[in-house]
Amino acid sequence: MTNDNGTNDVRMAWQADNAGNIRLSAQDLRARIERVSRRTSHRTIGGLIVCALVMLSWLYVWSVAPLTSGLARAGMTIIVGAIAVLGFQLIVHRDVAEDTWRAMAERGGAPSLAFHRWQLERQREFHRGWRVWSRMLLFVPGGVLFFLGFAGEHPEVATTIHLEFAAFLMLAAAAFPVNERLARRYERQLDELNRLQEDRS
Amino acid sequence: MAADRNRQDALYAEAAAAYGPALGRLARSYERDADKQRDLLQDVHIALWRSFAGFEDGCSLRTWVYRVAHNIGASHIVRERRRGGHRLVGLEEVEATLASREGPPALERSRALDRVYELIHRLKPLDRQIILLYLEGSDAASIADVTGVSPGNAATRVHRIKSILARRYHGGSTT
Repeated sequence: MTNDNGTNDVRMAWQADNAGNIRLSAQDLRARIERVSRRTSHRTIGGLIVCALVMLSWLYVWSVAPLTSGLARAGMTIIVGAIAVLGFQLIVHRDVAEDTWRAMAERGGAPSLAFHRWQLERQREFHRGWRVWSRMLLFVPGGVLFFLGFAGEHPEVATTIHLEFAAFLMLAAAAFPVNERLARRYERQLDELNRLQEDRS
Repeated sequence: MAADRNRQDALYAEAAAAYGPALGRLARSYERDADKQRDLLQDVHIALWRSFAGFEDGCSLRTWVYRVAHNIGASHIVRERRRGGHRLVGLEEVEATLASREGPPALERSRALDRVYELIHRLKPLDRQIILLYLEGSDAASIADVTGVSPGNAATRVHRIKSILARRYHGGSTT
C-alpha cells in the first residue's frame, strides 16, 4: 500500500525547484517567430538546390562516361528523376507537415491524447498504403531497367551485375513487410491509446 | 483586431506569470541538454502565445497551458528520437524493474530530485505527461481533463506513480 505521505515531500521538492523561468516580451515573440519562418524557407531553398545538384551531376556523368545501352540510360534517368521528385516532395511535405504539426500542438482546446493519436496516425500512414507503393514505383522500375541494360552493355561482368540485381530485388521486396511491421507497431500504440480512453471501472 | 491581439498578450502574460516555473520544470523534463532546454522553453512560450489567439473560454487557463506545453514537449521527443534517441519505457516497465530490486536508502532532497528527472527522461510521452502533472499538484480528475485519458485510467496511473516514487525515493517506505 502507498499513500500520499510517501510522495508528498517529493512533490513539494519538485514544486520548489526553479528549473528556469522566462517571460518573452511581445517583440521577442514576434522576432523569434520570424526567425523560425526564415529558417524554414532557407531550408526549403537548400533542399531544392540539392535536388538541382543531383540532376546536374547526372548530366555531368552522362557527358563524361555515357551509357550506350538504351535500357541502362532509361533506368538511370528514371532513378535520377525519382530522387529529384522524392526530394522535392519531402521538402514541400515537410514544411506543410511542420505547419500542421505546430497548429495541432497549439490546440489547447483538445486533450493531449488527440495530439498523440494524430502523431501516431501520421507515422502509421507513412508506412502503409499508397505512400509505400508510390515510393516503390518511383525507384524499382528505374533500377530494373538500369541493371538489365548495364548487364547487356558489359557482358564481361554480367554475373556480378545479376547478383547485384537479385540483391536489389530482394531489398525492394523486403521493404513491404518491413513497412507493414512498422505500421503495425504504430497501430498497436494507437490501440493502447484507445484503451486509455476507455474506463475500466 | 487590436482588441484580439491585446487579449492574446494579456492571456500570455497571465499564463507566464502563473505557470512560468512549472514550464521551466517541464522543459527540463523533456530535454536533458541545457542549451536545447532553453530553446524548448522558448518554443513552449511561443506556442502558448500563438495558441491564445484561439483560446476557448470553455477550458480553464491551467488546462490549456498544460495541453499546449505538453504537446510541444511530446513533439520535441519525437524529433529528438528521429535523430537517434534512446528507448523510452512505460510506467508498467519501470514498476516491474523496481519490483525486482531492493529499494535504495532514503535520499537527500536534491539527489532525490535528480533521480525524479532521471526517471522522467526515460518515460514515453504520455506517461511523462501524467507524472509531470501529478508532481505539479494535479489530481487524477484534472490529469484526465488535460490528457484525455479516462478518469479511471488516470487514477490507476497516479497510484502507480505514487508507488514508484515511494519505492524509489524512500527506500521502500510507504508511510
